[in-house]
Amino acid sequence: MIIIMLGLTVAGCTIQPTEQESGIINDQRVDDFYSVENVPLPEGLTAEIGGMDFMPDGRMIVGFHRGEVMTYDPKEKTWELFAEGLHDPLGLLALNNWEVLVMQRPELTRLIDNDNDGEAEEYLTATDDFGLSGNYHEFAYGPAYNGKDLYIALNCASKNAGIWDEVRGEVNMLGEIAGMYSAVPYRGWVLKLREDGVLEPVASGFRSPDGIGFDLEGNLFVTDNQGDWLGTSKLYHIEEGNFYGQISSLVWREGWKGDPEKMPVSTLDSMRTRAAVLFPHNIMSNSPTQPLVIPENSDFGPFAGQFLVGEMDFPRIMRVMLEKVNGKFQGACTSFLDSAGLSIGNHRMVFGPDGSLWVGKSAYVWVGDRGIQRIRYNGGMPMDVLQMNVTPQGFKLTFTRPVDRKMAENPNSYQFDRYYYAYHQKYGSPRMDEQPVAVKQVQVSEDGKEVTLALAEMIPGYVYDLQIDQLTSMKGVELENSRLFYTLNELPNDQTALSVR
Amino acid sequence: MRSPTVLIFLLIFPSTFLATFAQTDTVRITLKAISGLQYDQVRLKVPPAAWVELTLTNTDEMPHNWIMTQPGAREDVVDKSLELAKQGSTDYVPESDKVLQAIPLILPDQTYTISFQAPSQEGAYPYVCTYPGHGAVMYGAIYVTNNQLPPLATDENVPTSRRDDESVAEEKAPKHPYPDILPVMYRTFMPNCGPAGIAVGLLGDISYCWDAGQCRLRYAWKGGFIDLEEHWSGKGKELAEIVGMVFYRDSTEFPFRIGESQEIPDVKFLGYEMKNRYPTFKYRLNDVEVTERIIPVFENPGIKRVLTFAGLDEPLWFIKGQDNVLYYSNQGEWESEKILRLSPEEAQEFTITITENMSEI
Repeated sequence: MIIIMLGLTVAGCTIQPTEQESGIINDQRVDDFYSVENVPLPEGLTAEIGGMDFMPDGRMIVGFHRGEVMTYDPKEKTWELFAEGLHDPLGLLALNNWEVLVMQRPELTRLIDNDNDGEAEEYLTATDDFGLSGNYHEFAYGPAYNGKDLYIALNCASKNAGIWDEVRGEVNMLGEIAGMYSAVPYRGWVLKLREDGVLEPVASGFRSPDGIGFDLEGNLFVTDNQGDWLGTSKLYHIEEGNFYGQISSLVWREGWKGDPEKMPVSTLDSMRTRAAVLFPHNIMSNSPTQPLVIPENSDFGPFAGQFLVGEMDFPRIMRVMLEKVNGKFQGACTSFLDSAGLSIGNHRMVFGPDGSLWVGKSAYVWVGDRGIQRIRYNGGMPMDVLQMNVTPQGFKLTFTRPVDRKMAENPNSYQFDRYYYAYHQKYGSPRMDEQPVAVKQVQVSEDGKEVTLALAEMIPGYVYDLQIDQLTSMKGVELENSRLFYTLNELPNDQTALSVR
Repeated sequence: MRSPTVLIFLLIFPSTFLATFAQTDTVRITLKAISGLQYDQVRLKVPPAAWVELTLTNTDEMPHNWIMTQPGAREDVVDKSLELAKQGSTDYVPESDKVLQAIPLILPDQTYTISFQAPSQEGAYPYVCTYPGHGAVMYGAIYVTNNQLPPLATDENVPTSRRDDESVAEEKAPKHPYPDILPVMYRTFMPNCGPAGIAVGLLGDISYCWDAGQCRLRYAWKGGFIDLEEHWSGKGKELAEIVGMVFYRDSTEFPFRIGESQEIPDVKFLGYEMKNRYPTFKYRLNDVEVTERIIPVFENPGIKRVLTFAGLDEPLWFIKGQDNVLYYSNQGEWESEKILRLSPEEAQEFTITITENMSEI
């Protein structure tokens, strides 16, 4: 076993944790409410994080780009090697203090430390029942666990490379479309590993789903990245049998015949399930990663139950506010944290036993960073939009603190734009039919926490982009995040159809 | 009008003409946006006031543009582009007198050509991709000059990662936060193997490649292990590089047959167990559970495969994968030059040693 400890000499050489390369100042305060610090890392580690979790005994366990899996004792600040030699681990789930599931390129692997010496001896294949063409872009993500089944997500292949002569699985070149493609089974799918060991296809239509996670009620959500068939990046609610838009994976549907590329786009459009939340490109997110729900009763501020979503290109972690309208999830995204000590490359996140958020960075050769940052809640109540709900006439904003009534009652405090993103093969989409929408009426609740806005028009299929100007709390606390994006798929049929979460 | 003038000019001052001609001839440049947020060339050289025809091809998988700026204005233009993006523009070319030339955003596999006259003022004119997020790393410079370029290693107009094309420093960096120890095992992309490849480096610099997709030993080599730098530093497209010389390659369709049937058994990879840093592979051939551990042998360089087959009720056949190596098995009978037959009892635990035939070398 190789142990790496602060200032101790191991195997003939001293290995000291060093500050990560990004050059971010330690303990920089984000604001009064959250602070960011860098986690010390052992020297010689290429700290690109593919997966992270906490074991019940309080050790953090992390999978790195070059195949190491290491544990970190936050009290002692020591790193130990748990496993090595894996192929690009991009997801990790600790089952207990001695067993860990790791999603690597070729398979989902169960690592077992039988003799409790801190290092795994057994590397058992939990499933490899999916295709592998040798195309470098076939990354594998997950697993997300709901206490019963394990869910994984498989990337499509990139046009920048072909497939190998020798592949694993059946080859279907009808899946080789313009853009990212699916030439072997279940590329571009979300799959379920049942308790009996059978890997079952669940949903299709994904391009680069580098983020999979459950909400507190056991609903599964997956992020996907802007590109071909994705006008902008998205968060999907996953339901069995549904198709989410990137067309190459359709060829692996049971009984599928034909070339998806030859189908009219309008037909494909009618087949797809729309995203619960769109992340407007360049404004909110260029590359969303893991959705992580804030646990109930967590000591992490007022947003329990909501998703945080990592962002690669910006120094940002996003926050998602969901609701069910006419039985379907939709909602808004905003920033949770922007800059102020947070670096870019926010790839994997996990809450520690003390309630702090640990953020693992990654880059590959895309935009990103290396290292691990830890975000702590310092207490207090930030001034923020806690929830954004649709009403038949507009939106209702719920704030964390009572608003300054005079500012809040001014319709000019709320600037709405609306636009949509085209569904097409082309890489990304500009914002289409972008128009300002006038606020007709503002109503502030008695307790000052709810602001109900009536808009000039509400059109399903559009993103409602809200900029709140000049609004503070009653006591003058500045609004933390003033830009919100609501994805309006459904207008509530009536007030009772709303089930606010 | 022009030709006679030129002709006369040529007759009177032939050498001067040649110099003039060289300056006014079109300089054709082919530039690529390549994987890893970079242009394939980070320094271009053109004479002052030369006509330039620049073709940009996007061989990457994301969109890129190309903006040439006033000397020293790269970062400013990148910042302005980002502002523009936030306001909703999607061409990322700010209106600014600091922008001299621009190729708009082009998608993967697209090509775009522009022609322009280089500035007459000598200098290093940065070029950069202003797609949001790219500007910090994806840039280079056009040197408008007839003189030599400054040393690459200290050129501030070139991204740090490109100031030393041989990347010597990177190779010397440690691979892991612990020392290299043999034996060592990696799951990785191996040449001449399926995509679920495994590389194991053993003592004595003997190494082998095992295929977890097909559940079989593929080949073995001596004199080193693998180099993964290229694989790790990119997106994983580059394969592991074999260090040393392959002495054994299994050229059979599959090396084992079970029972009278000549059919290739169905395979299922179950994983492996690490002991003293050696993996023992576990897999299933039809319904038979197999374990395989491979250790090095040294007199004649080679490998010893320690195999167990549990639950066989029919004989097992092993087929030689290559002729010019030596095979030895501690169980079973060679039915022919190429085929070893083992009874179910013999197959419970046996070894096959494959070594170089030193007499043939």
